[in-house]
Amino acid sequence: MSLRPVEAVSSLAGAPSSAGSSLHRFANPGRFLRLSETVLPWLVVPAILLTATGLGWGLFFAPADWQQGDAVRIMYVHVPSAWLASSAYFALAVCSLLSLVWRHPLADLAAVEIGPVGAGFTALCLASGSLWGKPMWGAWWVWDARLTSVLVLFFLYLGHIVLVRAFDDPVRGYRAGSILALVGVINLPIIKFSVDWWNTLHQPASITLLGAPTMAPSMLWPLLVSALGFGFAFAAIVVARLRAAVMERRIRGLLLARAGSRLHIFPSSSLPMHSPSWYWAGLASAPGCVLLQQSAGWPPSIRVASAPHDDIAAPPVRTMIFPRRGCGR
Amino acid sequence: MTRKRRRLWIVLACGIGLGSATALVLLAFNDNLVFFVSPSDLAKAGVGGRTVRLGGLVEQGSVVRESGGTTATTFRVTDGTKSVKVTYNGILPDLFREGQGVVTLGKLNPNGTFVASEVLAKHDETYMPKEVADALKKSGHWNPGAGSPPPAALWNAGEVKGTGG
Repeated sequence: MSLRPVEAVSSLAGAPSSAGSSLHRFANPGRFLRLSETVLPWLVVPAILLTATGLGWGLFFAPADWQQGDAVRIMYVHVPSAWLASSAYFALAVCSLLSLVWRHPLADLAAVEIGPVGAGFTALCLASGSLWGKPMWGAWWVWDARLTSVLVLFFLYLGHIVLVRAFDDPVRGYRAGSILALVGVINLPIIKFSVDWWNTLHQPASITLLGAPTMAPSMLWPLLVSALGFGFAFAAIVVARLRAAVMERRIRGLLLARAGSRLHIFPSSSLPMHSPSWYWAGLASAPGCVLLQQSAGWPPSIRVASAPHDDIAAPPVRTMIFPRRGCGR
Repeated sequence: MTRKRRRLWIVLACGIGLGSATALVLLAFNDNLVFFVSPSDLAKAGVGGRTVRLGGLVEQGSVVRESGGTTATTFRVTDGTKSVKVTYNGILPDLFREGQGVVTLGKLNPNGTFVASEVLAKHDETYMPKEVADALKKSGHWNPGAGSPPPAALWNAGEVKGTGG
């Protein structure tokens, strides 16, 4: 068998043979790159237009509040970023569930890429809230249930960002990060209902699913436009980051191919009986080696590609381990 | 049972376990999770000399600013059933007024006066332009000193303009 690392990458990551393939249809990196290339402009343009319209409208044309005056305009940044902080975490949790249960390779990458963006919007929410709190409440920060639970959300994001990058084997990082993200979901209802369950300095929601908003339409519309713009911006940033992550993987494969790889097949006889994944990872993380495939069934066999010995020092070939095959099991 | 299904059940079971554990913890610590206590709570629980946060509405007509170049102010904080006299020496937040929500940090004196070292303003979730607020007040739909404005449906629908002009 001739070695074609790039093809090996895409065929590995996508389209497992067995049932549940509808989910995995979108796991094929090639298909994702094609689809996202079409979709990305339709996210970027509305993101810029809606955010500019919403913020311009809110900051310059919407009326000042009868009691808060012009300070109320911080709302047009604060509320969309607060909504997005929670929604982004929900998206992170969905990706984590797909990654943990269905071993969806693209969801692994999506969870990694959502983390920093969600953390950014949470930081924006906390900072703008602090700037709003000082003139209105009289304090930059108070330890009430709403503010504290959002701060916990920020730390959950930071923890996830660190944890998914903390392992030599990325797959172990994805698993650990998924578990952290799913545990943190419990914080979302706490954030939402903190203002109803307990006495807080933070006021309750103005816009609810049931019942009319307690906000004049002249202030509500710019807020909704701004929130929609923030949402598109989030989607655009995440899709762009995800494209970059998929391409980065491909480039690593191409670099390896250029280095002139050799294929090693380790048949079942050469592997320990219940060889765990760290054993395979160990084999593949030898300098210049890359784990291409491990069999789904029993007996186990893996394929490891390595650059010729004298080439190893020259081009920096990064070790990489692809998601374990067996998404369809 | 496939491995996928088994993993899904494990995640669900862990979720249920974690969810109920968190719910129980939050219920157990319910009293400590509140940011402030109301005047009724203050009367019920003997807080003695402990520093607590007292929250409620500034009672109508209770604000007295000391004359003679000081910033000392006394007012009463009420939750509708009980009210507590509060003394505070310092700069009040801009939103402070009669009928407004406040959260004060301080200690209850033996004579029943709450000595505050910090006063924070708590505003409600209603946002409206000045014109709408003026129209509501003029039409008699709402007195800002007496409490929160009428339901938004009333003024969002533009009824205010008709009656208040």
